[in-house]
Amino acid sequence: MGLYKKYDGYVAYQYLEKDKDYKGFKYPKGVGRVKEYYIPLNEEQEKRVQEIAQKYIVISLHDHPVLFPEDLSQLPEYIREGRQSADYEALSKSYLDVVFDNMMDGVCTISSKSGWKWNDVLHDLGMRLCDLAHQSMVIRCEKVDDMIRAHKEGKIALVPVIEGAAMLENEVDRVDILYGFGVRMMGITYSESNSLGSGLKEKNDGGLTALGYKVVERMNKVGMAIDCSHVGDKTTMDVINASTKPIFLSHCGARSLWNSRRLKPDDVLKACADKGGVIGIEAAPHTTLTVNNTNHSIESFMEHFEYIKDLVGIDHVAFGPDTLYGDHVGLHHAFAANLSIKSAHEGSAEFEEVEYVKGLENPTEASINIVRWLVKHNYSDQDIEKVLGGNIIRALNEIWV
Amino acid sequence: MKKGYKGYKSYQYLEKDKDYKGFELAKEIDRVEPYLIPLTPEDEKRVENIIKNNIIISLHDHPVTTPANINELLDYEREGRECTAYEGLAHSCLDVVFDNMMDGTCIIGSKAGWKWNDVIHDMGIRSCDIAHQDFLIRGSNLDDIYKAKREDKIAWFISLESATMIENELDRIDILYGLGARMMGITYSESNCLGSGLKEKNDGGLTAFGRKAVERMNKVGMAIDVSHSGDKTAIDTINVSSKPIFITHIGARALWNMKRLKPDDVLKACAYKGGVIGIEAAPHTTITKNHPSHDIESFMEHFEYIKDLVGIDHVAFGPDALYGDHVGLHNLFSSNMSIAENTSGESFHKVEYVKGIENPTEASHNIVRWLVKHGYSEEDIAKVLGKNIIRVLKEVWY
Repeated sequence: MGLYKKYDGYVAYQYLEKDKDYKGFKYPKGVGRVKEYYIPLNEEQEKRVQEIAQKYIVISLHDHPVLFPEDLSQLPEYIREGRQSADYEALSKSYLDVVFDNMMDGVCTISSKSGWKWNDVLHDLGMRLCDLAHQSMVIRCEKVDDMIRAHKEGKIALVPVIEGAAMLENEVDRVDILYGFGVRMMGITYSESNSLGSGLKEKNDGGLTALGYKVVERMNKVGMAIDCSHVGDKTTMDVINASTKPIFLSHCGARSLWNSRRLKPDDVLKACADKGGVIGIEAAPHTTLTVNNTNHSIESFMEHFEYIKDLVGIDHVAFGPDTLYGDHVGLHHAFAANLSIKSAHEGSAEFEEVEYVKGLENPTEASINIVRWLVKHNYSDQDIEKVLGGNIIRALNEIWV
Repeated sequence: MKKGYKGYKSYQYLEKDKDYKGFELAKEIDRVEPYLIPLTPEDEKRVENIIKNNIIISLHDHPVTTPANINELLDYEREGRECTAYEGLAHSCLDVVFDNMMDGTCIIGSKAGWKWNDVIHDMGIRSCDIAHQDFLIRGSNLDDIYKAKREDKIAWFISLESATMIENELDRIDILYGLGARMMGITYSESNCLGSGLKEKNDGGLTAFGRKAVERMNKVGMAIDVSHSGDKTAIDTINVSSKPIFITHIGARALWNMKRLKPDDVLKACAYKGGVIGIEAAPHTTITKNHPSHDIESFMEHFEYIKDLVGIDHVAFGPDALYGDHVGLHNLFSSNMSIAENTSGESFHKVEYVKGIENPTEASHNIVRWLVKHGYSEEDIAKVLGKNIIRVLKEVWY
């Protein structure tokens, strides 16, 4: 059923009255905001794409399947309103059976300037889950069975994820609390350091802190998956060593191909895979660039995929495009400081800024083009099944208790 | 015992006394001398069939275990990990329980309780524990009720006895719903931003904010409870709500003059709107002149009085029981829970526990037994055990 979603026509927050109960914003089209691009295929390949999308569970290991206002000057106001709107209709047109939804992350500035406050993270989580509870196409994913059920029933299983653990402050029990509310994956840090360890922006990486070790242990016990995408290299290595379970790098690329802190060096990628973990390839604007493709597009993204696949093996790679419905580049400009955009790029070569990432502009387009690219490049059914979802499910079967 | 239970103990996914402070807990079964209403073999058979064929709902309970030494209760609550009594529940005949969480004892990070962060903490920790077993199903809609019945499990719904912690934020109703709450009280016994609690000398009714909160709860699909609200505030809520409401754990003031019980006009207004009234059994509440010592007989006198007043379609049971020393808990939390103000009115015999409805398990069995013993029809029993509640939930929940 992967191809045919049972979309019920629901629009986010329609159980309330717009502009009475909450402030409404004008959104761009989730799909079609910019010129759509689908990798051209021959007839036989088209047929294979359909079969694959139907047959295999397709997972995005990292996305933000929500809409952002058309007028980006309204962005701070939109965030402060505390109601991110999932684009159910756009999701219904994707190939996704499962989406790891990373919520507001660094833009979670509902009641603070710098973000990541405990109350704000809970606000975001609770509000999104309330909206989710009022429709039927997207189900809240608590276990692997929910993914299988979604695939079977033409639904999409949404896994709530928090990208950084800053809001734990010094409270280990908050891991349990977040798990209780449905969070099934959490990053150790965002790009900035917190009480658990060093973020990727830091000049010095002190590794996992004493509290960080306790949190990793608790996450293992509770059964919450660990993500180190935004974590510094040493802290990441410490997490991989400390964890009794495999971990994820849900959205990253290879620093060997493009020298940016936001991408991971070979030894970290290999350590993650050695532990049984899975690396999701990132597609947020201006991340997975390469020297061959300084213009960010699906081609440079896939160059990272193939490099990492060759480095760690096909069993340890997946896709975490980290896309959204709206102007992602504009969002990066507006939140450059909160998201530590500048320091993430520090040290990289020159690149041309793009308006959007061609072929991976939003979660829907990304999900479709990833399958098309793999088919076009003659990947076997077995390998495609692994990278679309099989590898992730294998790791989750070990991690989610 | 329910077949869905496989022996899980609260927080066993962690290491006790390393990851959290453990307490020696009260026995979930037979803490005090058990009492089952004696029945004839024929009635026993009837009880068995009723349990098999009907959905049995507790509209209000606290199915958690307290420390064996009740004096450790404050430390236990501050630890922020109430232990669900899975084993006790497995011995009940409940298919559905509305769990009212820490309520007035939610003092994890404050002395007076009801703080937003603490309520969230309580909900999250309990939900995390629930997520590590499959006997209690975390309930979010009616399908979960039917599923629990089919699989010999229990559907577990989060209720919050008061809306105090939403402060002046309407959106927190959505947030609580998103985090799993499916029913909320307007006030506890103390007043808050929404309206007056039952302890107050003067009841100002539902506030301007309270009206907005009721409207939002209707839209979101969160059930409303006014058990602890003042009479005027309760009436205002009934009038303002576009949906029926619940009085989940209550008795009749006409039978026993105390603020914690409701006068006839409030009970009638609730029923008139289509709502349902759950009978309360917390120690020293549903007493009567005929039974000044609180037990299942006085409890059932309230049931029959209210049934005669509002009709069989509007009555159910919300025993408000727990696993442990409830009377001792009241003594320790007397001020937080406004116990003195609740009970002022008439003098009564203090009991150590409520005979026949000492805990959610005993209560569930004896309610069915009492109804059978007193010759209630299959149809009426089905209504008061669950059907009435399901009828309202179909209207109220989204």
